[in-house]
Amino acid sequence: MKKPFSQKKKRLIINLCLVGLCVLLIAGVVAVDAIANRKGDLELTREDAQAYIEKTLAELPTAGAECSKYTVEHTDIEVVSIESGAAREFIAHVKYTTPDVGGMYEAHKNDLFVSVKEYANKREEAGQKVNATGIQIHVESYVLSLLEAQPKTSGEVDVYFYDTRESEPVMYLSDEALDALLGGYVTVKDDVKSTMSFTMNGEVVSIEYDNTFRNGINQCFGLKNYDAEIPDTASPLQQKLNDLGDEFYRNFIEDNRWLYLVEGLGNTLAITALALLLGIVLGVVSALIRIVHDKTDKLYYLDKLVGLYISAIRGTPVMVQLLIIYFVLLLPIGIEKFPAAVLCFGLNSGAYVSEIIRGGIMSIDQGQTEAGRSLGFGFWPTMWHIVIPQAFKVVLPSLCNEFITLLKETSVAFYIGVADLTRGGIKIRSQTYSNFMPLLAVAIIYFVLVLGLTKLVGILERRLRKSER
Amino acid sequence: MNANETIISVKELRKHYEGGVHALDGVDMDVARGEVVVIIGPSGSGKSTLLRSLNLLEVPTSGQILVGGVDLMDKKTNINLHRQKMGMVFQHFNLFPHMTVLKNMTLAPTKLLKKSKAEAEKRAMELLHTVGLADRANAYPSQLSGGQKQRIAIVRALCMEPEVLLFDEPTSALDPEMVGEVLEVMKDLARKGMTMLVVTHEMGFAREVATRVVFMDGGVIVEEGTPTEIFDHPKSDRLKNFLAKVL
Repeated sequence: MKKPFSQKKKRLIINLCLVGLCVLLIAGVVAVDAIANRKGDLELTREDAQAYIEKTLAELPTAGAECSKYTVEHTDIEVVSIESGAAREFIAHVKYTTPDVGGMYEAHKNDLFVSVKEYANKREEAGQKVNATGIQIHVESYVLSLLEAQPKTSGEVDVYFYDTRESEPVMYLSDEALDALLGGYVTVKDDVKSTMSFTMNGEVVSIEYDNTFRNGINQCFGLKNYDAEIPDTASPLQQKLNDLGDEFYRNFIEDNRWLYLVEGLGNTLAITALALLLGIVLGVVSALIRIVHDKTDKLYYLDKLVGLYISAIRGTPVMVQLLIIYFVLLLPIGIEKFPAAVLCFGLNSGAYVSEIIRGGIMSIDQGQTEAGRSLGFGFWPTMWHIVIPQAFKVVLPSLCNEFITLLKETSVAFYIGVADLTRGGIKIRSQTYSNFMPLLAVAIIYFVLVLGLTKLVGILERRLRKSER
Repeated sequence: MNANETIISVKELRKHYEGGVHALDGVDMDVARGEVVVIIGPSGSGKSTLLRSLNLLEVPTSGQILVGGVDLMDKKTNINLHRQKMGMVFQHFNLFPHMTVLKNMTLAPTKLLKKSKAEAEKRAMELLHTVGLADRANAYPSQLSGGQKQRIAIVRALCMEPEVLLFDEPTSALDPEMVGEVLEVMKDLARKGMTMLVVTHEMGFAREVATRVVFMDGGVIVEEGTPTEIFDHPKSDRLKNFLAKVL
């Protein structure tokens, strides 16, 4: 005889199956990642390494200046030995011989600038505008002649290669290695970058605001756009995680961008709380007006007004209401965005709260009112002591749902430029050009808020129910 | 206090609803202090409407209601003050579910009669003892049986020390085995001389307790008299017909 599973047991088994499936899925991904991340397939010979280094050096300075090629031509490289390093790296020990560009630059720095200045002066006297290209031609020939006469320097340096699952290894040149192989290139680059003035005929001439000179010298040495990054040798999964980490850093940590979210959250909560307060006041007042009218036929015009208010609010999108309230009504009389948003969401919420409260009061049995009245209570005391406390319990869940809806609805406030949570995310997005992280962060914050509120409401409801038992 | 003083006097009372329904179609009735008037009749005969009119829970279309010489239909009459002296017990009890039994009973005395809390609670406990529910003082209505609820509803009305008690089908919503306990309380009240108007289908109760039985049909009083006159010597065909069905 088979024992039937109880409902509880069944649910437990289903949950266990789901957990098992998730574990299997994760294990699968990790396994695939491990297989994809195979090691030691690549081998690097001395000849390969030599070829890679020469190729890289020839391509490196992207300015295309003649003199840099000249420098490379005059650089001799010899790979002495290759050694396997940690995990995915090879280290090539390299001997080099190269013109001492750094020394040359130091020795002739002033001459160089003097020559530039003289050239510029001459051109200006001739009524021609000086520009960087013009200087470059002049300086180039000057530097070339210096290079010819320059003594060679030599030494040893380590060059790093990485296996990145490409067909060939990827080389990483540190500034130190590049500087050595090109005879002081990086040193010169930094120097030229930071030069603000030079001495000419014993007189200090500032070039702080005159970029033409620096540009000329920069171009002459071909010092533009050198940027080497250590290749990412991590496994695909790891790379994805690293990317996510970088994204996270860029979107939230860099420039303290998370502060946009904090500020936005503060504003969202403030708008919601104030609008809720306003909404409850408006809602209670208009609900009572309608109820008094329903039960006593008094307040005819107020009731009509409330009816109009409620149907107008419920019949139009909140965003349109916001735009009208701010741009049509409040902006012309100089009211700020924040109070405009509070007013709009308060008015909007009030209409819904009114209907919720009216429904709650109507749901209380007429007998309760009759019992109260028969004891001698007037209309309002009966409401206050007997009907409203009971209606409160009925409407609480709907009221809290309205609160949650309101919290989410305030996200349209960014349309009139209120720095709310949504706008915080959008601000980050506009700075980092990434969509995923900032928008996801905004969504998660809303979600956590709503989840917390829902839990709170649940606790409150249970409490209230207990008091009746 | 004059035992034979007329406390309620109803003249030419009419209640017409839109659509031509005449719930009350000219009712005249006097009730003297200490009387127990039981109103019987088929459903839709206007008994409940008459009872509720005495408290202005239904507002009559025309006619006159004098209670203790005060005209209730006069707009200047303070109806809330009048209702304090006229307790009402409902078919569906209408206890306040968000309050304990004790709070149900002390709410009105403390708020309206300005009794102190201790004073009101003392009186409430006395009354609870008389109906045998003193141990339920701190229970909530949802924890009580129907019969218990109705007994509480009766003593809640008594807490206001009313001069008249109106009962609107007090046993109709009860399970049969609970009817007895409620009727017992009502009989006890009658013995103590409380002026009572009772709309009910409990003919046994009417026969035993009523000082006068009123038979209504079609919004008018068709016949009235002592229980013996009504139950044993009915005159009109309508009453005979009715009694044939219910007895």
